[in-house]
Amino acid sequence: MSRSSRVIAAVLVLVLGLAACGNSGDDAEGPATTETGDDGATASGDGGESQRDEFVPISGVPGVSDEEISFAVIGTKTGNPLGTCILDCYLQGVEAYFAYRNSEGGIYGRDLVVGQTLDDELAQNQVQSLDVISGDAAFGVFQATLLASGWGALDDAGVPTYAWGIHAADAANRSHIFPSAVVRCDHCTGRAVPYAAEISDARRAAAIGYGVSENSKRCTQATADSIELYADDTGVELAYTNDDLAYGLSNGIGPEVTAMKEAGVDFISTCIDLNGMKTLAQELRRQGMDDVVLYHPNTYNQQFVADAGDLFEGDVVAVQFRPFEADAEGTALDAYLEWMDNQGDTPSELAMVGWINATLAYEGLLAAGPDFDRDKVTAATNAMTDFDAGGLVEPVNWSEAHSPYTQETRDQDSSQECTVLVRVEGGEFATVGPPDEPWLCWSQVDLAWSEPEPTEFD
Amino acid sequence: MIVAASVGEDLFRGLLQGTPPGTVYALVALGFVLAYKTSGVFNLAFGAQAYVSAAMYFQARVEWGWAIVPALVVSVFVLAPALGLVLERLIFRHLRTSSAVAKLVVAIGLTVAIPSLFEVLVGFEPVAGRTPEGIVPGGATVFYDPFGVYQFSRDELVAMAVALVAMSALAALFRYSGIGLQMRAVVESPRMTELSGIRADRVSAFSWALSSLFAGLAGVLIAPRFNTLAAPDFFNIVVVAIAAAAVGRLVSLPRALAGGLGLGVLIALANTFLPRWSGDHPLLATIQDNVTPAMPFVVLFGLLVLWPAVRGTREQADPLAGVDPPPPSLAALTRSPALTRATQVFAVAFFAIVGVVVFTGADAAWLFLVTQAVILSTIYLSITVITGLAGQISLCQGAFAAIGAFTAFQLTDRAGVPVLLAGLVGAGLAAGAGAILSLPVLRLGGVWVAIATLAFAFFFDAVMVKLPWIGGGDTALLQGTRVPRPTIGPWDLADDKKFLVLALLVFVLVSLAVIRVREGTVGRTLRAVRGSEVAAQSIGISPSRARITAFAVSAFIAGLGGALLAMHQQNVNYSSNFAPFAALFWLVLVVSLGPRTVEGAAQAGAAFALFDAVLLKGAAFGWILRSPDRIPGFLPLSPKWRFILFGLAAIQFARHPEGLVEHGKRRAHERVERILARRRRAGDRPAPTAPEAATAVEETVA
Repeated sequence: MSRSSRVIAAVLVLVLGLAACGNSGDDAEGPATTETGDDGATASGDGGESQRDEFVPISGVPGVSDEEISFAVIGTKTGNPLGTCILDCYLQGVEAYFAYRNSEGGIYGRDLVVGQTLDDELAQNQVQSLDVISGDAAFGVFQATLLASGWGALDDAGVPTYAWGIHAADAANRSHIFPSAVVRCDHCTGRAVPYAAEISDARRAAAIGYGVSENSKRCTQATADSIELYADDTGVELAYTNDDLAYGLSNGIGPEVTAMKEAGVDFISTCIDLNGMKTLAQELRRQGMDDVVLYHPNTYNQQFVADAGDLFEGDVVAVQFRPFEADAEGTALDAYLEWMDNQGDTPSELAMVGWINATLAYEGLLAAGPDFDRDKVTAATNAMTDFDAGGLVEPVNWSEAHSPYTQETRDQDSSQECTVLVRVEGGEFATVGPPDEPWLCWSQVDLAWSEPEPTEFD
Repeated sequence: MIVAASVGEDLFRGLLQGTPPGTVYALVALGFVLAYKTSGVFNLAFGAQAYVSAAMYFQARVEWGWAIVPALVVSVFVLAPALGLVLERLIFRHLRTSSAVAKLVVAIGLTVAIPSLFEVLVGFEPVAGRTPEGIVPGGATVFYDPFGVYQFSRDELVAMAVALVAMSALAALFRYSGIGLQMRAVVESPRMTELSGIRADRVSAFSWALSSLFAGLAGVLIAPRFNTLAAPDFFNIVVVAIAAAAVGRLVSLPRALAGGLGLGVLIALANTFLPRWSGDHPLLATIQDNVTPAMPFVVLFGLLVLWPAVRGTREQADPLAGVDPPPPSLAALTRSPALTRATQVFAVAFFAIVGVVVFTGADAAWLFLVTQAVILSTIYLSITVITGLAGQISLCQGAFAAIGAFTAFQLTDRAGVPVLLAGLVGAGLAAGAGAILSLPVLRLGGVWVAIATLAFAFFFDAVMVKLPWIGGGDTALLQGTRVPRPTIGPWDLADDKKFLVLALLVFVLVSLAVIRVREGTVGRTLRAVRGSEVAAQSIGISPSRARITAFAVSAFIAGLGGALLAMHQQNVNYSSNFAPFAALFWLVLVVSLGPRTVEGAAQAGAAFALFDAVLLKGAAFGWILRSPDRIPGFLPLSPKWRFILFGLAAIQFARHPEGLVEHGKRRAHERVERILARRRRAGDRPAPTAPEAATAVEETVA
């Protein structure tokens, strides 16, 4: 053995020996979460509207000057495989909310501003997040990204991060990450799909999804389990399941639709994207199954549905917030529509997500009090037990929302199970529930079947 | 319960349902065969060419409101042949005598560059949620049911007709026309063809215009099948269609057509019958779960490794290529000892300065990028081994790296194994996977190795990543694939600077190992096999053992780098880091800059990680002008320029297989040596006259 080989071998042995040392964080006791009492005791003060105009000089807090509180927005634009409007639309919502609040004098004598907008180019989320952390020029970060690789760094750095809620796993156990929609159990059974099938007068339902990931397979399985669980109550039986669809349906979906036709399916719940939904609807039409009702998880997009003509007529679409078709009066939807119009922008799903995120950022600041910093805002936000963004989302208990659970441990969730459903009628959406009470809610404690209670959060 | 129709009826329906997607694969497969027969290029950029015409047609029809005919004429009959002519004139004319592997690398570079270049030039953005229009009115809404079993849209019928007519016309062209024969002759040997009085340039230009026109036509016909219009869709179809082209061994048009249709039908039949029978047969359930989503890649891989006819396919090679000079030696091996010493001093000084700047002045973002660059350089050393030393093109290095990363995740998550040890185990597993993969692959030659490894990469992506014991499991579902940073004794490598030290240490060790391999028995063996397999065998060298070793070593390095990358990012981040297309770009980078040297891998790593921040976003201008406020207004540039520039740089691979940096280095060395020699001579002579001195100065400046 030559000298250099011996050196390399020796170093490798050394590394192997050292490898037995351990992993960073081994001594930590569970995930880092902000300790808060029921009253948000760790926040600096009471906060609240009464102090909103109180100016307190603050130094050393990133992104905060005497004139403004600056935020960064990171989102996917370049390289978006879905081709949908994400970063630009999301930014519109954040800016509309900031304009609305600034028109009332801002907060603590300061304006809310977007100081930095970064395109994460799909795969650069972690770099862009670190860029914001290093720059130290943003108080908090808004994120609408398809790959949330930077959330860990932001959480570690203690940066309040308000995000599009499509990455439940990346938000889990991270106390500084505040998604627009809290999903603590992706794979638990639920009543929304069986209910949608029931009100569609369906008798035989299908659950289908992409086989591209364990997540989408579990989503399909959870839907199938839900339909079966409540079959006796709803009269809708599970007739077909397929969780192996190729992503993008490049080979079409003819055989699967034929199988569903032969199975007498009249309702299909899916775990696929909106482009795949259109392919499915086109194939259903081709095979004379126009009457089949589709349950869409990702298609709350007015333009997309309008462009599709009558392809989705009668379908049911799940929405993660108060839909634009619900009564707006007395809720933040009114302000959203008004300020989107003032800004010259069209309301959209992502803009609403931006607005909801910005609302939480504002309310977190308000709860932290005029002598705020990042830790206080995070603590105050995590002390909120019923954040509903002015009636735009179902109430979130942030003191629990960061902890995921499974079907077996779901009894730890004290909130209600709520959903918003809209139906496509004449190429437009209409709420399934009453427009003034668009949420349909069930008890989380009692999983037995019941009709949902139309609910309003305000 | 499913009401079963008769098997015969279902079989017939499945056959009909598989025909439209089969036609899509057939069109692309025909394009492959056409390009290969007329240019000798395994044209992976076919999808990119098809995308350009489809996007142009969409832009003209939908955005500009043009009628069908002018939109079709411009996008298919003008733009597509023009693109083909440009490619031929600027690139492939100079590569006629290059190896098939060199041409493949250039095609991969174009695959990366062309879509981004088109989008930047035209201002086109990928489309979603809107179905691209076909070339006949009512193409997507008017249906015909010729057999009373399944309806075809007007668009689908047009595509089928075009595929049939194209296959017949092209077959007739090659069989009965003079130009067809000339095209094949030019591919065989342009130099010998010109000796016969045929103008190879013109024939070659016609070939490229024709195959590009076909790509454009295929693109416009394929687009309505999707509700999106984006380059990745076309690339994915190309990968699937390679299986169909393989059925025709890249030369038979009728077989390529049959292969495409057969693949579409096979997938449709699998989707018809497997779900129905899998409930009663566990084996079928397993196949349905694991194979159905990756059927084209399984078929392709199976064809390549099991079908003797494919393995026996002879690559297009110029008989006169044997008289071409061999590739030059590495610059480092030919420079003088004095220059070597000067270079080493410069390198030490450079890295010392960079090290001081990074460790004392870099913020978290720059530390992240620099560490990323170091780790990617380690991964790229795997390409140095497999491509630079062994001469094989592997397109599955991302999968090997992912094996290392997922192993680190799984072992730390499930068993609490120290993450460094888990990373080493992951590297070992990757090496095992590489060795096993090399067993069927090593019998293939040239481009087929590349294609087989690409099929494996897509299979890994479509099937293996979702398996609970690889990329999934309950933890992954609840909180993703998080990986901890290691601790070594008293050092907690959660600190970014300490982790950078570890990354540097690993890079240095792997670099030494690679240099050792290159200059040792294995390296010499690989060079011998690369030079002449038969000659190597005649002196007792086992090509199989050499290639297995190369694959295993390369996979080990990739796996180790992948595990380090996961530790660095504290997450596997499979989609961001290791997806097949990302790995394709790795290859483009390394071969552009220097596939045979450690420096090449290091420069590729730096380019991948730092190019955006330093150049496209203008940080370099900020440093030079000493203020970020002085960065020119045209910056930042679109990140698409990264793909454009490096994609186009890969074109140089065929002319400079040693890489651009190595090529530049040699030129610089030669120039410096000339100047030094002149000065030495001048020192031995009386002082030069004024004109001589001026010339020497001019040369130095130049």
